[in-house]
Amino acid sequence: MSGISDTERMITLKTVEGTLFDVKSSIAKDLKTVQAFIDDSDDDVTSPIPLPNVFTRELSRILDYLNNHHRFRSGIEKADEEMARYDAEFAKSMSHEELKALILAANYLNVKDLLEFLNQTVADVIQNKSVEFVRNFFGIENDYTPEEEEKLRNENEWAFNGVEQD
Amino acid sequence: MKKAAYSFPEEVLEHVFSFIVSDKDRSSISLVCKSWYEIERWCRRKVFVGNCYAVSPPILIKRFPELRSVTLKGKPHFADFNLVPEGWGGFACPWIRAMAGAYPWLEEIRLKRMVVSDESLEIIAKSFRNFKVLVLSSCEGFTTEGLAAIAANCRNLRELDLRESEVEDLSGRWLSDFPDSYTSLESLNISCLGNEVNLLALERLVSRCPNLKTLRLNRAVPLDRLPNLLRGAPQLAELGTGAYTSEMRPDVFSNLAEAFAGCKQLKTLSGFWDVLPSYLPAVNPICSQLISLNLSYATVQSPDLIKLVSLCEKLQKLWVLDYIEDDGLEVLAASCKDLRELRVFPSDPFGLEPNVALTEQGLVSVSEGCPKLQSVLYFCRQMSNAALNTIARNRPNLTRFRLCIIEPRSPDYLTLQPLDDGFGAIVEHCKDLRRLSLSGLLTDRVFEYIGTYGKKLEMLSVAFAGDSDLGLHHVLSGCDNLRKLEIRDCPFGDKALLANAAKLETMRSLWMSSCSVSFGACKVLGQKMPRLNVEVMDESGPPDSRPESSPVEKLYVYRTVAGPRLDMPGFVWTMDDDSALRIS
Repeated sequence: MSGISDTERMITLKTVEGTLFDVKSSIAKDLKTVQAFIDDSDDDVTSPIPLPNVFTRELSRILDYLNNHHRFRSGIEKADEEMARYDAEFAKSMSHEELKALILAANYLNVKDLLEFLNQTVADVIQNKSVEFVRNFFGIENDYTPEEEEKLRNENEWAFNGVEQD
Repeated sequence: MKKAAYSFPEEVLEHVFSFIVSDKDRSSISLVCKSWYEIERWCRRKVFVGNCYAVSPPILIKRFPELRSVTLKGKPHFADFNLVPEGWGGFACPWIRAMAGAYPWLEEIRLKRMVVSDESLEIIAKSFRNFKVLVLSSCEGFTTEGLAAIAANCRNLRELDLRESEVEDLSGRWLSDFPDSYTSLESLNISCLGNEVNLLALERLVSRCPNLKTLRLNRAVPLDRLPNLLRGAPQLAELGTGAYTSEMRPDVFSNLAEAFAGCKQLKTLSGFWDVLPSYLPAVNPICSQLISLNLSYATVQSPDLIKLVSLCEKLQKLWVLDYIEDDGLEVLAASCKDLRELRVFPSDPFGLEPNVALTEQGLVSVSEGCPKLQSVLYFCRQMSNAALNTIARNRPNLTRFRLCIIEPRSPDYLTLQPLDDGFGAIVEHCKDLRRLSLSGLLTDRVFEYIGTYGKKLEMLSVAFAGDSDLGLHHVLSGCDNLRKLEIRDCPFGDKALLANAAKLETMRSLWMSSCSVSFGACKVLGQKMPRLNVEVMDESGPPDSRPESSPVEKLYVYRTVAGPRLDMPGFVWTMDDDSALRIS
C-alpha cells in the first residue's frame, strides 16, 4: 500500500446512469460490497467501480446518510440527539417508493447501519396496519384463495393472538 | 395485473420481520401471500397461545419450527375463584414433551394457570441447553424437587418466576442446587413458597449474580437477613421482602434503612407480610424513586399507610388493602399524580359489617386527583350511581375497571336503585375500556348500555346480575370486540346463547356457571358449531341422566382449531357434533 493515509484516498463509484461519485475511502468502508471489491483487487483501484444495481438517487442518499453520521460521530457532544433528529428527517423526506428503492440499494451495497435503520422504518410503517395495506406497500399480489385465507385467519386469530391479560 | 414492484430479497424481509413483534402484526404478515407465510413462520421466534386447547402441540410445531419463546394459558380465569374443579385440565406435560423434541434451542417458557409436574420441570431442565426464562404464574402440580432440577441443570437461566403458584414445598434445599459457577440470574420470584429456603445459599446466590434485578422473597425470609441480601445486590430494581417484622431493635432498623438507601435503582417493592408499623419508615430513603408498590399483604392501618404513600411522588402502581380507607386514598390522590393503576383489596371479605372506613368516596377522590389513572380494581361495600357517574366523567381514559361490591346484588346505597346507570356512565364515557367487571344490583338495562357503548370491550365479568336472556343478548350482539365473557349466577339461558352462536366463533371463550342454560341447548350448540368446543362440566353425574331441559352446572365454550379435547376428566363432557356425549 502507498504511504498516503487512508482518509485522504478517494474511491470513484459509477451508478447505473453513469454518474460518478468521489467517495472518501473511510466512507467507502461502510459500503461493504465496495470494500470487498477493493480488498479483492490486487492493485490499487483507480478506475471507477461500476455499481450496476444502484441508481444515482439512491447512492446520493446513501452517501449523504453516511457522511452525516460520520460527522456526528466525530463531534463531541449531543451526537445521539442530532443523529436521531437527522434520521427522523431522513426517513420523512422519502416517499414509500423511494424508501423501498433505498433499501434495495443499501442491501446490495451492504450498508449495515443504514439497513438496520431503514428496515426498522419500514417495520414501523407496516406495524398495526391491515394485510391489504401491507400488500399495497410492497406491491404484492395475494395468491391465497378466499378459502385458504379464511382458514389461515382463523388459525391466527384463535390460536395465536393475544387479548386483554388477566 | 399487480406485480411485485420491488422483489425484496428474503434476507431483507427477514430483517424487516425481526422488528415486528406483536402477534397481530405477525399474523398480518403471514396473510400477505404464500411466500411471506413461509418466511414468517420460519423466522417467528415468539408465540402466545391464549388458550392451550385452542391449538395443539403438533399444530404449533408444524407451523413454527424455530421458536425460542412460548407462552401458554390453561384454565379459565374463574379458576382463580375456585370455580374450576380439580383435575379439569390445562396439563403442561404434552406441550413440554413435544417442545423438548422440536425446539432444542427454546429459551423461554411462560405458563399461566396450568398443571405442571416435576417430570415436566425435569424435561425442561434436561432438554434446552440455552434455557433462560421460566415463568409459572398461578400454576400447580409441582414440588421443590422439580425446582431443584431446574437449578441444577439450567446453566443459562436468567429468570425463575413462580408467581402465585401452588408449590408443594418439600424442602428449602433446592436453592443450593444452583452451582457455585452459576452467575446469570436476573430475576427470582419465590414469594409463593411456604417453607424457609436455605438462607446462606440464597445470600451467596444473590451476591454472585451481578445482573440480578428482581428478587421477590417468600414470607419465611426473616427481616434481619434482608440488609445483607440488599447489600449483596445494590443494583436491584424490584424487591419483594419477606416477613416485615422483627424484635424492635434500633440497630436492626438503622441497618435496614441504610441497606435500602444503598439501593439507588430500587423502583418496585412488594412483600410486607406481618408488617410491624414502626419498621415501615425504613423504606423512606427510596420512596421518592418508587414507581410500584404492592402492600396487599401489609396489615397496617391508614395513618402508617398514609405516611408511606405520601412520600412516593413517582408512584404509578399501588396495590393495597382497604386499611388505607377513604382518607388514605385522598392523600394518594393529592401526592401521586403519576398513578396509573390502583387495586384495593378487602381485608375482611367475609365479615358482615364494614371493618374499615373505605367507601366509594375513596375511589372518587383518586379519579379526581390522578389524571393518568387507567386501571382500577376496587373492593368495597357500598357504591352509588352518582359516584360511578363522577368517576366516569373524571376519568374517561380508564381502560380497565373492575368493581367488586362485596355483597352480591347490593343496590345504590343512597337511592336503593340498581347500579345500571352508574356502570352505563362508565362504558359511555370510557371509550377505550377493554376490561370490565360488574357487581351490585343490576338489571338487563346495564347490559343494554354495555352493548351500546362497550365497543372496545374485550373482557367482561358478570356475577349475580341481569333479569333475563335479553341481558346476555345485548352483550353478545353489541360488543364488537368481545373476546372473553365469564358469567356466574345469572338468569341467562338458551335463547340468547343460541341466537348468538355465530358470535361465539369470534371470541376466545365463554364461561357460564350456575345460569339457566339447558343441556339440550348445549347439545344443539355443539352440533351447530363445529369450530367451537362446547364443554359441559357437571360433578353430580352425566348430564344425560337428567331431562334435556335441566340446566347444566357449568358451560365452557371456546374457539379451537384442534378439535375436541382428548384429556377430559370424568366430570367434563364435550358436545361435539358426532357424539353429544362422550363417556370417559
